[in-house]
Amino acid sequence: MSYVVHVFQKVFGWDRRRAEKHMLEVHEKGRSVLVRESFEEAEAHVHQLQAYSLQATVERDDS
Amino acid sequence: MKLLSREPGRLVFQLRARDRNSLRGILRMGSECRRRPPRITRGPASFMPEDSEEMLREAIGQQMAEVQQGALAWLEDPARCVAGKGGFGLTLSEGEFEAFLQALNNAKMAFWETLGCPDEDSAPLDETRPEVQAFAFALELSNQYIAHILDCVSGDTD
Repeated sequence: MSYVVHVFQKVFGWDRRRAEKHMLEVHEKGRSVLVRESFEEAEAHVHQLQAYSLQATVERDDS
Repeated sequence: MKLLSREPGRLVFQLRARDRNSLRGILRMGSECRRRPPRITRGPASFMPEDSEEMLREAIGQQMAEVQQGALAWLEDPARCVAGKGGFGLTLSEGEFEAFLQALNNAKMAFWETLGCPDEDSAPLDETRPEVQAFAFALELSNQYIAHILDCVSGDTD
C-alpha cells in the first residue's frame, strides 16, 4: 500500500497523513473520492493516476 | 539496497549482488505473468464513451509492458548499473525512479492477481503447491522492496 500512498503524494502534493487516509479508504471501501474539481482538472488527475497504473475515474458530482 | 546520493533529478542506489538478482527476478517473473491493465470502471455518471475505455485500457497495458522492460534493462545495463566494490551502483533520474517503482508495483500486482487476489478474509493459500509458494514469495519480496525503497528516499532508513 506504500506505493499508493507515494503516488497520491506525488500526484496531489498531499502530506503522508492525507494520502494514507485515502489509501485506507480505497483498501476498506474499494474506492475513495479523491478530489472535487473541474472536469478538465479531474481528467488530468485521472490520466496521471492511470500513468502510475492506478485505476481512477471522473464522475459528475450531483450532490 | 540503500540510497547512496540524491541530487536534484538524480538518485544513486547501492545494490548488493543479491538485491540486483532479486529485483531482476521479480521483474522477469512479473513480465511473464503480466498484470492485467486496470479495469476502467464506469461509474453511473461516467463521461467516457465505452469504446474509448477499451482503447485506454490497451494503451495502459502497453505502457505497463514498456515500463517493465525499461526497469529490467536499467538493471542489466552495465553503464547504468555499475559493478563496484560490494555490489552495484544504480543511477536513475527522478522520472526513471518513478517508473522503476511502478514496474515493481505492477509485478507485485501481477503476482497477487495470479494468486487469486487474496485478502484478509480469503482462505489461506495452499503453499504446499510449488507454484503458489513461488508467487507468494515473489509477492512478499516485491512488497518488501517497494516499502524499503520508499523508506530509503523518504529518509526513514538507510
